Amino acid sequence: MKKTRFNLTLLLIIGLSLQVTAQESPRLNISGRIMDADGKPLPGVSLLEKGTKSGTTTKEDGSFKIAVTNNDAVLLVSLVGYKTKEIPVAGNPVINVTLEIANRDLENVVVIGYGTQRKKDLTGAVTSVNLEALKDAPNTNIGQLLQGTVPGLNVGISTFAGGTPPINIRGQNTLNGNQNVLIIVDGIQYTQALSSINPDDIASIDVLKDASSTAVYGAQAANGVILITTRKGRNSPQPRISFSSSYAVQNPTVDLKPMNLTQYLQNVTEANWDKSYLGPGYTQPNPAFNVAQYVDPSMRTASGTLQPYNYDWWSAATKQGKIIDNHLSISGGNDRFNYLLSGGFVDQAGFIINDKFKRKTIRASLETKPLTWWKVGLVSSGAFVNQDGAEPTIGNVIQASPLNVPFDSAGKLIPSPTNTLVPNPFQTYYVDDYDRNNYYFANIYSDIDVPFLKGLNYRMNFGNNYRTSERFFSSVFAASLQGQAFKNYQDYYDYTFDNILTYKKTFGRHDITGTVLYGAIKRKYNSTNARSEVFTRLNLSYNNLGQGTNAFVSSTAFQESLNYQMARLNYKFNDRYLLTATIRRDGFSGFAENFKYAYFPTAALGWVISQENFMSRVNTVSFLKLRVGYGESGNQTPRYSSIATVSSTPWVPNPPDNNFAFPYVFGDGGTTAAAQQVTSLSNPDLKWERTKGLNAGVDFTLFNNRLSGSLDFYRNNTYDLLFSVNIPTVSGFSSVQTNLGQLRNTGFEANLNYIILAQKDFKWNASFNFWKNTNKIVHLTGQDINPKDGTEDDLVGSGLFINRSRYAIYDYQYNGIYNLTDTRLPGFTVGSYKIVDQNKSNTITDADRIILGRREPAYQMSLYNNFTYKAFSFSFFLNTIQGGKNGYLGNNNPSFFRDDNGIRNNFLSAIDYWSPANPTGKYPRNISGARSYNEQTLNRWQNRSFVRLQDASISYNLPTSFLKKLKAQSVNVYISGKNLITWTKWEGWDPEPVSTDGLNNADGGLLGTRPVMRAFTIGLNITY
Amino acid sequence: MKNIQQFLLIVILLGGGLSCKKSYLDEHPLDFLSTSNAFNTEADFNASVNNLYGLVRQHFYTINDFGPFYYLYRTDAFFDITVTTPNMAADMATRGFSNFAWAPNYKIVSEANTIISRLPGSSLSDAQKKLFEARARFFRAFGYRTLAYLYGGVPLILKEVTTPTTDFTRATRTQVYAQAIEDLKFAAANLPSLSAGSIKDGEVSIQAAQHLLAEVYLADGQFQNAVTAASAVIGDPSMGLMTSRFGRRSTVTPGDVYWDLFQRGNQNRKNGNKEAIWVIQIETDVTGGGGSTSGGSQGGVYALERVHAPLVRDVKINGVAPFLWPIANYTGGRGVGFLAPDSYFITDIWQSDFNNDIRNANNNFVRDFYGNNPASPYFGQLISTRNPPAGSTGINGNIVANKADRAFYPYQSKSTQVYEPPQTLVTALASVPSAIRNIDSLAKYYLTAGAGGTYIDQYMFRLAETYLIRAEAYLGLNNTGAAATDINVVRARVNAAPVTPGQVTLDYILDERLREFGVEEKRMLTLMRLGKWVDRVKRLNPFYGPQMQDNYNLWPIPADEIERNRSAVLQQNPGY
Repeated sequence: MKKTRFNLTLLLIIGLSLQVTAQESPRLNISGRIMDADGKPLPGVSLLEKGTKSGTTTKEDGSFKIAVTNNDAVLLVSLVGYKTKEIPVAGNPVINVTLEIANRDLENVVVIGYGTQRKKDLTGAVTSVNLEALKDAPNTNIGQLLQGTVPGLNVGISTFAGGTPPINIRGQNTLNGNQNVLIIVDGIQYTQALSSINPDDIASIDVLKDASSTAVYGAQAANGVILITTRKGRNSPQPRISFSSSYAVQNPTVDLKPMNLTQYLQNVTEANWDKSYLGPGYTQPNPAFNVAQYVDPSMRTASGTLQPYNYDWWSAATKQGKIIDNHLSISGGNDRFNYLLSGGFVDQAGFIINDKFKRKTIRASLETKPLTWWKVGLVSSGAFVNQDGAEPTIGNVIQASPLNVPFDSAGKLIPSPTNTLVPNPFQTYYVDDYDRNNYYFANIYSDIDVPFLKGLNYRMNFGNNYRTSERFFSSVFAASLQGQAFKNYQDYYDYTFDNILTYKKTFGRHDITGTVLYGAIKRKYNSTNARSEVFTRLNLSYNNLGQGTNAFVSSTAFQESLNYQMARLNYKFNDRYLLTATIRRDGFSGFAENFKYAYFPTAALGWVISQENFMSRVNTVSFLKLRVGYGESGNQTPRYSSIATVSSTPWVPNPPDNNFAFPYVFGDGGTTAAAQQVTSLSNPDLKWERTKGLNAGVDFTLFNNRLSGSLDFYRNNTYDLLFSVNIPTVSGFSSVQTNLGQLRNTGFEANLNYIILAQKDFKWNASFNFWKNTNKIVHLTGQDINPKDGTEDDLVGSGLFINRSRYAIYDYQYNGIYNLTDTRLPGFTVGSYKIVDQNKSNTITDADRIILGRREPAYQMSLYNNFTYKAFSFSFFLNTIQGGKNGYLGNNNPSFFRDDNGIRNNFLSAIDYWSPANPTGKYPRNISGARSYNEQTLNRWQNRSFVRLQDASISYNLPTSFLKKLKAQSVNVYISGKNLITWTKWEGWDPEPVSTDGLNNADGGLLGTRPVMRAFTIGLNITY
Repeated sequence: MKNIQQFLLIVILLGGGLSCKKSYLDEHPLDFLSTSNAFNTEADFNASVNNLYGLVRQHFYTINDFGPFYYLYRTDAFFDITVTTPNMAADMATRGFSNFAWAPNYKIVSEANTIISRLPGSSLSDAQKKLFEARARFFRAFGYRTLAYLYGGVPLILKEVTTPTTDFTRATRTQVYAQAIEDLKFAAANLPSLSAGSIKDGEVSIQAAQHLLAEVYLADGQFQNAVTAASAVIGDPSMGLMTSRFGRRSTVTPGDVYWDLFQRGNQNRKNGNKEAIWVIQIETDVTGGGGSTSGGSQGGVYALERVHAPLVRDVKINGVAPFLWPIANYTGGRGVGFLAPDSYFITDIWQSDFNNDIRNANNNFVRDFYGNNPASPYFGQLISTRNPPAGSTGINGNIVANKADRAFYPYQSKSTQVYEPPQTLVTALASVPSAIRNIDSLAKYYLTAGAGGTYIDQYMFRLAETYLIRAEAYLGLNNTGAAATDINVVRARVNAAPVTPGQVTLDYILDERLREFGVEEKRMLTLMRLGKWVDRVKRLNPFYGPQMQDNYNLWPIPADEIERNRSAVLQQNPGY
């Protein structure tokens, strides 16, 4: 094998030398003009005779003169921003050339994982994010920046300051395997929070979507890959100094408030409609009704009248949010050394008081060339995130009555204004909370262009992620008002060690790039927690836990490792035919002994049709490429999930999960007798989840590069789905992590960019994205047992149905609300939902549930428009998620139930509750004090579709005359708005932030507690 | 050539770590064990057995402030007074409250099975193996008997489940009883006796196994065997009913021997209690003690006080509150009034011996309260549930004599800790309402918001019940004379008039159990064991009675469980 390659190289060298020894002949003078597509002359165009060093440039009128060596000479005509042309002289003394605007997009280099490729040579579905478009928006997290920008990339919304929104690519490929998109920063897997990255430090973001592209990352890539490249130093003797600053104010997109005093009393009246109205119709008010008798005792004085309060809890717990963002970077360099240093500071305060996010970031990117063929570099960053302070409990703020007050006359916090166990919402606010996360990243690399074999490159990356978290807390109200304090330390470290060999060779019409990778990753985590409860004094806060009476300690740790190899071949023939073939072998410690390793192969083909001769006459088409790819990628299970776990961690009240043991104490005054409990079943057959994906796409530029875009169709089948399948609890376990079934995602994506106007002073660009993904469960267990009906069984207990979406909604259907005179099913009361008795059994049972729809959207679109007029530019970005028929449903189900708590709670003022006097009310109001089980668990699924004017911005570049005074290269000022208008039929808070699984309605809707922010920003960018 | 040398040098320097050991991908859990290495030594098996005790206490006592009380609500004696109208159809739905006992009891069974299955491969001696097997089989029988009482025949699993299994089918109720009997016989033969020096307070014993065995025999209709098993407990020289005052507070007045049984520290044998058979251990503020004072009163603590004592805070007499709340005296501590007695428990069962039965003395069954709010004219005055002052209102309107209002009803003092709350739950003097700050007898017992737990060891089994079990067995053998004799042992201790053989019926025994145990008994289990739940509630509890359906004597198998068991049909009980 070695010998063959050597021979091949030898052959190539001979071939090349043959080319160089072409004959010399007399000189020929040529003249002509170079123009653009509109016929305007182009000055400064460089002309070079191919293979020689002789050349010239065009004058103001676009004319040139050049002497070439012979009739067969070829002229290379190039100008920045235009496509380079090769013109054969063919004996012509006069040559006029028209240059086409280069589609920079196609020439751009795209990061593809362990290497780069020109966009036009890509064979897979890879999209670069247009970072320019949204740079003026107040996005403190890069997740927000990506929202709506790439077809197939679904980014949700976070309602916490600095929060990371949920992100997925091309729908959900798993049932409950890892659902996170793989994030790679500068070639290294980034295992830190996205909130630790300063968006200003990013140079480019590329998204790998199809299996043929993601497969280079093998077993972690099934959910897609986002490749982030940070800014680097550049080769310029003049250092570039760039400073940007912005200030934003934020308020909720929907101005909802809890009921005020009048509304609250009206609600109490309505909640007692059986007394406040006269029977039998209950529409005529009862004049004898005295609302003071029906409010909670804590809202009455000793003499039985209403408390004289009218407290505005909402205003006390919220205030206008703000974001201050400053960023400075300095970069420069020469042939042997380049550098970039940057620092940033973000100070964000959310709408709910103490929802704070402060981040300091520093970054250094250094690269030096100790030898002409050897580069060594360091990319390092640190992020210091401060989220000190705790919010008031916003759910309790909404529920607090204006007839209660948070403080007594002496100004002391009243622990429970209603004298119940419902705490004062400000109990969680008046605490001492220290919450810091420090993130460190460093990648040290060595890059060698092997000196004795041209085209061979060896790169070594040694990337390190390190994180420390410190969460200290003390509260005099916690631990049943007896005081609690804790200190929690966590540290996390991982390294990635990658060795990449790349060989590039062009011979004749063949273009080859071969890549071989050998790498390993190791991750380690530790946490230690010390907590004390029952303090007579908490004046030393969390710094002297010894003052507490009851002490608790706990610690956890994990480690996991990965080991992988990859080989890739990129082959291009005649600039027309493209081939990419990859194979990756992956090993992960978290899998069962016999399934530690797996292989992930892919292949993809591309055909640049526009290069074919028969296309040369089709002038409307500048570029057209068909590509098709097929590949496999994987998804790994959480570590330790194949092991039968025996936990010895003592149970504590209100545990987050069941992974605990129950120690005991024998005898009075005895000590703890430790316990252990088996908390999970082992699964020795647990293995990788595999996604096999087919992607077919077309990339095109039409009409003299004015219209460009790409279309992609894909079908991804995921097999051996990792799923925690529910099993009968009689076994002692409620679920087991297993591999089963098949899931299919089918989709279509379109991206169009159109230069609508490109005049000298006025330019108008638009880009449009459309994407649609359909999710379907193809197989589950493969069993047909219960019921035995010739079709494969659904996993009803896990909510999974064959031929339905993974997020199908299987639930009761409702049909209005029971009015006074309606005939009701047994167990149902007036003012409760009419649940549809599907099987007409006259009772509501499990059998009355049907498939109502699904939680994921039908399709999404976004539209970006950018107008430039002289120094002004204006842009706006529209984004929409549409459910179509029965899609994108979310649970929005406020319901009033007159029980112990219902009578004293406040609610958002916008809820249209039913009552006899309001028989068309949308939401149930049950005053019976009893309700059916089905009613308690009923979800009201409503459409979340929306269209949003997500971003708009106006910016102005200061004129050159002014810049000279400032000695600046450019100064840009802007104002922008985010989430300006949302059109939706969804009621309550914003429709979008419902958690991805749609089950948890804690964020959106009328029950929700956390609004989405509308922001206005004013900002400044200066470059020296 | 120089380039090549440099290159090789750099490659060697940088690539030195390239080589990868095969063990690189071995998985080593750092903060937990796995079944393969957690069942070898005596300490390992002790940890698993300790966990069984913990699981039992968790499910029956400390998990939260509603689960354990499902064994009391909806019975013939109690109701949820916060509910305006009950909805038994919803409660008994296949996803209703009746699911609560299924998984926790099967967890007890499965952990016991794991111990039994892992013993042969362990390093224990044969004697140790036998002892641990006896312990595990006791708990397995305990779990199965609870399941069989509530749900009838259930899947009978006797080995550790190590692979995902979804084809369980139901055994018959008789088969489940037979297994429990076999397990308990083994336990009784191999566990230590309560009189043995080696046994720790709170551990299961021969006596616990025989007591439970007698109960399961009863359920299975094997009355003679039940008599034998119960007699083995009763006849053991180390056992005996407590008949005179004892323990830490034996000089406190008012007080009596029945009251002494429920004072903190008096349950375990160390303090001279010979009546206790199996005591669930509750230790305040020790990890694993089940008595956290800082975790709130809704979990990690036995919330009996919170749930059972009335919310006297909301009593008003002519608009003025006579009670400051919460105070750890006879006003009920920090009760919030959920689990209220119905009039059958308040009035009917006490009629024959109202004034002489010490179980009905006011220090045990509190009917008479004394005002403790200095701002009220009733300060220090009697306010009786039997004869409430005119103008008394509670949460449900006017307070009526002998009818429970959430704010005011008779309650059993054994749910509280009168004048003896855990010190951490007493409000700091500075925060006590100024009106009573100088009144020592109130200020020292003014509780914090986290109070409401019952920080006292609880009897799972005590000898009085063994007598009543044997009485039930004699009744089954139509020997009402012997039954009456046993019942009268229990009655004599509390100064109640003896019952005549002619009066002994199953209903009488159930009434006697109510008088003797009240909130202490897992009443639902007794009624379900006897198939008497529907009948008794229909007749005696007007709150739920009208909604009871005949099929309720077997609870529904949880619908989720039927769905999860996808490879075989887990038959639902009739009527669901």
